[in-house]
Amino acid sequence: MHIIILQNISGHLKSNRLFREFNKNFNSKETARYDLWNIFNCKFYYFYVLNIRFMKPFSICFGIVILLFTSSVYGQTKLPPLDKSPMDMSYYPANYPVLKIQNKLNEPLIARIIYSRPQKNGRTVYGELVEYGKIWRLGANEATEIEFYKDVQLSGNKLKKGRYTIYAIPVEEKWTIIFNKETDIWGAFQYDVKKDVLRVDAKIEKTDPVDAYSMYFEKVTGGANLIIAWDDTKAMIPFSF
Amino acid sequence: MNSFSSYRRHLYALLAVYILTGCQENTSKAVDNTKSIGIRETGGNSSLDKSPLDMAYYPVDYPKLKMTGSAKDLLIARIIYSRPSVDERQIFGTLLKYGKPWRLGANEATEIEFFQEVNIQDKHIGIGRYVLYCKPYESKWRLILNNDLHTWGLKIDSTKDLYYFDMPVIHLAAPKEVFTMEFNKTQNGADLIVSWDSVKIQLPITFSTNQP
Repeated sequence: MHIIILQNISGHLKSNRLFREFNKNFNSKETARYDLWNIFNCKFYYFYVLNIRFMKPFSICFGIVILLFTSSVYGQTKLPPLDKSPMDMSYYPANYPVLKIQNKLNEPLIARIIYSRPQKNGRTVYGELVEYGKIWRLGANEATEIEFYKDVQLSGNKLKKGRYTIYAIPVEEKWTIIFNKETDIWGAFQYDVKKDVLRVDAKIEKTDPVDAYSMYFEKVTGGANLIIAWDDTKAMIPFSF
Repeated sequence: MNSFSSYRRHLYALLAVYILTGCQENTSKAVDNTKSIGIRETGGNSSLDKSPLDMAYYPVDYPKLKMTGSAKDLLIARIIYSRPSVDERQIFGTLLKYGKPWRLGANEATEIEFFQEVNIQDKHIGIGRYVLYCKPYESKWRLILNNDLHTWGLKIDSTKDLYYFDMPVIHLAAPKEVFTMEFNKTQNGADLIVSWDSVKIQLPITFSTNQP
């Protein structure tokens, strides 16, 4: 009898959002602990409170043991994860597509960047994972792509509208940012200096720790900055249009 | 006898739990809704997306082929889309209402770019970038190419529709948890394969693969 009821309960648990969230984020040992938290917090607190006067201590233990058992089974049916360094995009004006459907646009579309987002995951980023003085794809997977929908000016240089691959050569005190016309390519492994269109310097600043590699645009007087933020470093590439 | 009455007590308790948790589920659903409209924030926000962006090329894995120097054919197409998960929800007919526009993914409208001229069914499609969206029905999907670029997928301007193609729904033996779009080589071109949950559709695209 206990088992039938508890299986019903675990069916409930399975459809519980919090439970799934925890399942995704923790390994099975931790999952079991969080299931218990989850059980008492959301679902079965009432169950035990209502029963505690009638139930023998033995059956309470029995119930908990079975719950632990069923939850460890769910811990094993984890789904394969999505890309470790998922792709993302940023527009200038920031959130252009959302502003568009809200009829809140007050600037034309200027730029879009498509990049993949590795996470720090406790690693030392600059100087180790991203080596100083070497070309870097500014993200992960495919080389990062930037598209300008208008001609722009970067440090006094004109960059024509179009799609470019963007790379960086970071050194401690300054980064060189490279716009290259070889698009639709993986990584920086076949980087060809002959296809460079423009090189500019980026300003470097220290920042609060950023775990997931981020690229975005920010509005400034006279134009915008492309911001590259990861770990404790923030690079800024100003441009105007 | 004793065990029977204890079982009955369990049932009452279970009933109480159902009633009490009934309210809780409603509130948690309300929270979900605001999340699903979720606007991807920019700025210092470093949280990752629930339905991450992805892209697919034809030729398949073109950037990797290019990197290894084995890209023999011309670049034909690229699709950029976001990938929601089923997440134990009822998708077709419930989450996605039949006959209502769907952005084929999540977040921004799905974007397809043709780098060469192609043919789909009897339509000639020019080089360029298009929004691709869909009106799903039980037995067919209407795929629509649209000109309203750079929009969030919840509002696509149907006055800018260019072409549409009706494709039959194919049922899958093994359900697909994560919404997936990919190209598959065929004799005269490639199929765009869209699959999610228990269904998929195949959109045949034809083109000539001239050497670069």
